[in-house]
Amino acid sequence: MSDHPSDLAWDQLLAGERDDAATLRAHAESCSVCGERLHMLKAGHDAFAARPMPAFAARPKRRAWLYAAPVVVAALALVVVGLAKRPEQDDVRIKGTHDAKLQLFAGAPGHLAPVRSGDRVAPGTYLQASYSAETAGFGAVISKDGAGSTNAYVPSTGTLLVPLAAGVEHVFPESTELDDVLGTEHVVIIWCATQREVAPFIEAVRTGAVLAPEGCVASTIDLAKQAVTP
Amino acid sequence: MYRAYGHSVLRRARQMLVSDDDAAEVLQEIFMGLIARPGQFDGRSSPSTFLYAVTTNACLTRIRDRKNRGRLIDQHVRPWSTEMDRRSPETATVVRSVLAQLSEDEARTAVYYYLDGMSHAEIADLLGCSRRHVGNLLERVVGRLAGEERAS
Repeated sequence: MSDHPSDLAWDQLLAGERDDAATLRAHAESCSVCGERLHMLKAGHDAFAARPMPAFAARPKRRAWLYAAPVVVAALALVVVGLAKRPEQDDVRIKGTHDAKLQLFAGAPGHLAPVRSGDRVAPGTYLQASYSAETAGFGAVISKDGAGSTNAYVPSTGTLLVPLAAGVEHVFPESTELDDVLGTEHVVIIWCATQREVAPFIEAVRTGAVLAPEGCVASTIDLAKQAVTP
Repeated sequence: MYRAYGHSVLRRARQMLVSDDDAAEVLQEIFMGLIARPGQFDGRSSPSTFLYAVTTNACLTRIRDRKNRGRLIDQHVRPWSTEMDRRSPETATVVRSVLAQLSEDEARTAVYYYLDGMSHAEIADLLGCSRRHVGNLLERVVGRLAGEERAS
């Protein structure tokens, strides 16, 4: 049996349901694993609580593209055009003692080009994020579309950031095909020095909260997704 | 109640279902259900405990849907080992792959133990049974997980 309290215990603590709250908090301060867990749960809890109340009327729309298997493309198989000549970044660099360069590419498989905020993309375009970092880390690619729906493109499954080896201009392990929801595609690429749960980042992107955990950097690219005119 | 407890419902639903849209639907269904039938929660347990049980049941019902089961089986599953960290992502993937094949109590036990990190006592409280019975259920779950390894 684990010596670490369960997520139920932490959720009860955050809800004010625990008579032993002081004991639990003291444990979280003395245990790095539990301190990290409580921090992540509280961040997610706070971000969720800040969201506007839903109408609890219509069922949320299901997006058909989410059920298509994500395109997992080996780094060597993906020809990324323009890596040697990188345009200026649209980074919103946030606090952290670690550094990573993040970039977004878009286009058809085999014909991707770097993009920056304001660039236009069409439904069916593939997005591929890349990074350069001197140390190994963990990352995610999160997007909020024109309808306000926020999802993690990377990881497409699971609850944790994906591991990223150190290196120059490495690609994230998955690329994503854009669906047909038009409007601003607000893409956020995240790199962190330590493993974290992805949910708080999704909540932050969804609510527009500032992404500011220590040891992480983020790059935001707002793309204009427009229908292709015949 | 939505603001205070909605995150734990959504987070755990994502953990069990993986799909963000499926988790959002479970969140909405649970709180719409509470609005329509507030008497569901009789106050005998804490709201957190009540919502843990409701969320788990709602997600397990969806997991038993044939469409979801097909997606889970398609995922790459690492062979089961008793040395696996029960809170690791790999363990979660293996556990999710067999939930549809477990009995109701076995599936709930697996979710509470491997995905929520609960103790036998906490699980017993949620299931309304003895700690010994929880131990028996976990033995059966581990047997099923190991059986998946032999089959693969």
